[in-house]
Amino acid sequence: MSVLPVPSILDDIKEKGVRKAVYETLDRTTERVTAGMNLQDIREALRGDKPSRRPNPRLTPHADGFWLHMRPSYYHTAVTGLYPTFRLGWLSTFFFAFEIITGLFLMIFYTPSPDVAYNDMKNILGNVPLGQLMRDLHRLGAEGMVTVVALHMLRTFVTGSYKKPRQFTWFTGVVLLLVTLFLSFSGYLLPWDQLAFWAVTIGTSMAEAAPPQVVGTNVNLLLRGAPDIGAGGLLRFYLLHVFALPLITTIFLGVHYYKVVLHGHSLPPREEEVGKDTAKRVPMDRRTYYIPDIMSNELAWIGMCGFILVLLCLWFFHAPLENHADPQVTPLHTTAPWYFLWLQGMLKLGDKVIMGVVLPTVIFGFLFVLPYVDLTPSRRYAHRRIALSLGMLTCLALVILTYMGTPYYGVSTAANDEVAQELIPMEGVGEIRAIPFDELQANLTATESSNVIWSVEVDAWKNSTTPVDLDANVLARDPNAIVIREDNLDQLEELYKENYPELWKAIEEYHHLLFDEFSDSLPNAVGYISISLTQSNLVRFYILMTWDVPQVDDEGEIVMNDDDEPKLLLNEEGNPIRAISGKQVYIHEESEWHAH
Amino acid sequence: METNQKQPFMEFPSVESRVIAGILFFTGTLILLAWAAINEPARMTEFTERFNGRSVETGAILFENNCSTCHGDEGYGIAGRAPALNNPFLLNYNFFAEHDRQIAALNDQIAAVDAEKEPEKKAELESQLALVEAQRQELYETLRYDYSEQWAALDAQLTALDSRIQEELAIPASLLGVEVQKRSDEISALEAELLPVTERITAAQSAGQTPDPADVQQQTDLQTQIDAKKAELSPYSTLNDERTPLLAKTGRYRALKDAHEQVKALRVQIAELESQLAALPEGDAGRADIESQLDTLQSQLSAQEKARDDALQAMIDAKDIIDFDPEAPSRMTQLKWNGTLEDLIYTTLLSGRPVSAAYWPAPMVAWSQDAGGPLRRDQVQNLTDYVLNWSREFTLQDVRRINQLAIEPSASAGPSVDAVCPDIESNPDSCVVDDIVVQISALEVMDSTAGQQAYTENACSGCHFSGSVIAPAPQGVFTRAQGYSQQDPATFPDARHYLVQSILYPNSFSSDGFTAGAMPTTFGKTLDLQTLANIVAYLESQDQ
Repeated sequence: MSVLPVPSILDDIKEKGVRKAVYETLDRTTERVTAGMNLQDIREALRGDKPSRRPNPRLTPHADGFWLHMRPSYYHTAVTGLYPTFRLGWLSTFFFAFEIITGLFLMIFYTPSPDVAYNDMKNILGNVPLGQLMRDLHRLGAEGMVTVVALHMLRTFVTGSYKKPRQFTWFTGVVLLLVTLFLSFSGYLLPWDQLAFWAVTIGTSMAEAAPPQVVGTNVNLLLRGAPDIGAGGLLRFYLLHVFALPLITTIFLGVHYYKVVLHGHSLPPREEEVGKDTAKRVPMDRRTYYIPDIMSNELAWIGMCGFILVLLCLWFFHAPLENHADPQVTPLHTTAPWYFLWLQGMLKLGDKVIMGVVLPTVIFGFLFVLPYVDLTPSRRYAHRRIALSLGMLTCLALVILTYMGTPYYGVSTAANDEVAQELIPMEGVGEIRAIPFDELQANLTATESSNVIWSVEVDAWKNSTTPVDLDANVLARDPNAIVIREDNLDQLEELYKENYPELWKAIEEYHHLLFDEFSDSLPNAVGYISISLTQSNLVRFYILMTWDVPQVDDEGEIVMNDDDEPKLLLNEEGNPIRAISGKQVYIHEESEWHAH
Repeated sequence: METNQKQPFMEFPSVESRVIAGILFFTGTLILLAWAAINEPARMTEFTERFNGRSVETGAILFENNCSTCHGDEGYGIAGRAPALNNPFLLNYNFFAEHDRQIAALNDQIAAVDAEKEPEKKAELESQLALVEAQRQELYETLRYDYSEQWAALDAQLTALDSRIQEELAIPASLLGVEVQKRSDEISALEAELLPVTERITAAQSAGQTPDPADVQQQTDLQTQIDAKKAELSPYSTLNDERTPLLAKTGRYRALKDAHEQVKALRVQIAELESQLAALPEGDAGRADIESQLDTLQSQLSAQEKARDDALQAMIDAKDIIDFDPEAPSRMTQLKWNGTLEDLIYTTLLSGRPVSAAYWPAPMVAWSQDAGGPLRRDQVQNLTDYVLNWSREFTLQDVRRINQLAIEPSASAGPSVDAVCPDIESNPDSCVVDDIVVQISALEVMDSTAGQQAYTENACSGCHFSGSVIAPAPQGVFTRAQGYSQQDPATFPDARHYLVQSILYPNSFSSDGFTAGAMPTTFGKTLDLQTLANIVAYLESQDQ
């Protein structure tokens, strides 16, 4: 007769006592949850003892459970160390899971529409507890995933693990690499800031170049949802990012994993005979069981990676957020994401179609068919000198091309714009925004009554038909303006260095740009700085420069005279032509660019 | 087979080390997350401030590029073009907030004190109240009447000009007008002399004769003399032209300054006498004397106050200054705006103020792309943040820099119709429609074009439009009015009576088929006689 009208644990308790009844229930539940291991089995495994009962309970979770069904029950001991895998394949999966978790968090607060997306970012960063951390983690995880997946492929290439019978595993791996790149790239657009908008505009413009034109145009339309990126494009990229690409990843990850289990992890090349694949034939004394060794190691790694990522995102890494996307304004020196810089570098070398479409297609096509083309049987490094040399050359080429993709190579901008961009970049901090507000406030050059709208004045001077004596004009409007000449750096240092270190750094940099870095393009330059207060907590910082226009040859190089000084362009009266240029920035007391 | 049986390198060599490392790392992560969570509120506040700061920075550039041409670089407005945004009324700054709070608190305390039991405490509180009220009054008057700084600047300008006159012309500036007059008179005399000579020459020429050479000679001589005199006059009259308006302007400022100082001085005297009076016991012989002095001073004070108001009005009329009333209602109150100030600025930028074309040379256009303008919503938000960033404690110097205030759309040019009939609320019969009809009919003009504009501005056209089902259409209203007048000549002697009554007292009669009581009954307060007359003229032109 049971205690209650229905059978319950109370009957057990009545029969065996509380302690024993509860322990047995717990034990049974554990065995069900783990699909085969009870508390005693787990204790033994963790202690490092041999299993005390037969059949081996540590194998049943692999046979009966879903999750471990995907994992081998034992590994060849030779593949369990840091070498030869460097855990890169595992790390790729880790990052994928990590991105899904952090991504889900961000998804809750995000709407894929140009009207609100940027505001949602503001909300995530300023109004959602741990929102900034989650965004940073997601972003860092994405960079990490791209890096790890690429390194994983490199490792597979180096150890020759793509060779028979693992050709198709490699093939799915290349698919996963591509999907990873596009996952990261599609996420780029979602914050809807300038960085996002222009990086993706550059990226998708390559699709537009695909020949023939009808294909390019339509692929572009398909991707962007319109001739230019807008609401349609954002929604498409969002759906790619949160749905289509993760789905493809999941499918191919399944195939990839299945193939790995099917063929076993490839042994280090020296462990097996040339041309033989002995990964599945593991001698008893070389077996390392998943439970407990591999599993405990993976759990420790999850802990370690999570810890490192959180640590980095709390103090060392913050995902950037630039100004709201503006289709009208292309920021100077816009680049693709770093992992596509090599493509941008290639684009600088030649035709958009060949470099941007044909060559990348050929490169990835080659990666796909590599295991079917490279039929040499040996995986030993000594036997693969050509392949490894080619691989190293490719890596070197990627590094060089990546450098060439940056604005430091092959981008010609007018020197004065370059100076202005260095000091006041269109996006980001630069030298001048980094000056703390109190330093600016203590160094206002213009008084309230002599506030000058420099942009208006400069336009007038530029359009003036008669030569303008800028020195007199600037000082007439702002008698306290900081004047930067080639020879007055010492005086300025005395004035500013000690009390206003950040302002001094900006002045020094301005001087360096005008008289060292761009001295040939901007001969006889003079720089001016005017600082005025426009609202009680808002400063207008104006940099003005004037120089003689140098002669330029057909190739855009500055013509030098015998004294190695730039030749000046002369007007009809034989006088040098004086050019003027200026740029301003407003700095608010609380915007604190210097701190972030 | 050559195999390497070396154990592979494991970063965590044993199960124990993995368990320990795992537990340590998980705990570490939890501690980090907890630490981050504790700091989140501060971090989020900081981020929001930083983000808003950057929004203001972007807004500043947008303002400079898009708004400053009309609203002025510093947002103080441009006279006759666009109102100030950097303005206490827009930004809801109340100069008297602290005073009003203290006054209200003191009044509450006074009401709570039992005058029978604690007369001293009550007296103490009342004197405090009087003090705060006096301070409030002083602040009000400073804001309203104190242009002494501007006067000083003008005076310095005038002095500089006078010394220039002294230097260039070697005469005291006060004689400039006399000198100009003297030379002008001389020129007029010469011209009068020249006139008969010229006439003689012309007559001779038209008769076909050769003019008398003596005449010709005289004409040339006189003309030379006139030109010389004119050349001599030129610097005098140039400086005089410069000086006269400046003198007048300085005079106006001085009149206000003097009157204001007089008022203040009289107040001090009155206060002194009052305290003397309070010190004297009831029935003292000296009281009558002081009281009569007080009466004299009081009447002087009210005369001076009037003089001060007149001086201020003269300056406003001369467009020296704007009519700055520190107690004017805030812009939000004026516009009966229900949302926040941010909403007001944001939506004004979003959709513009099309109606403002009626009273500004150019209307405030819609700036957002939603409404056909150039700016995206986030840019509109940046601009809003920039304008809001002008919020602060406004000082006298700040308000003196305002060049233009917003125009109240409903502000009337003349007194409202109700002002013509001041007792209309208490006694509706005191001012019958007949009187108003007589008054508007007596006006010089009834401008139907202006009336049509007023018809739109006063939102008549919102309900009364062609095909409207909520109110009768304007088309044919005159014809209909004539019909009502024929039906009921006692109430409506003519169509104009009907129209005026319908505008001012819409509920006294309602047209068939329309709901009674739908039309506002406040037009008597908002319309002035001329506008009413114009609207009536417009309606009278609608006779089909």
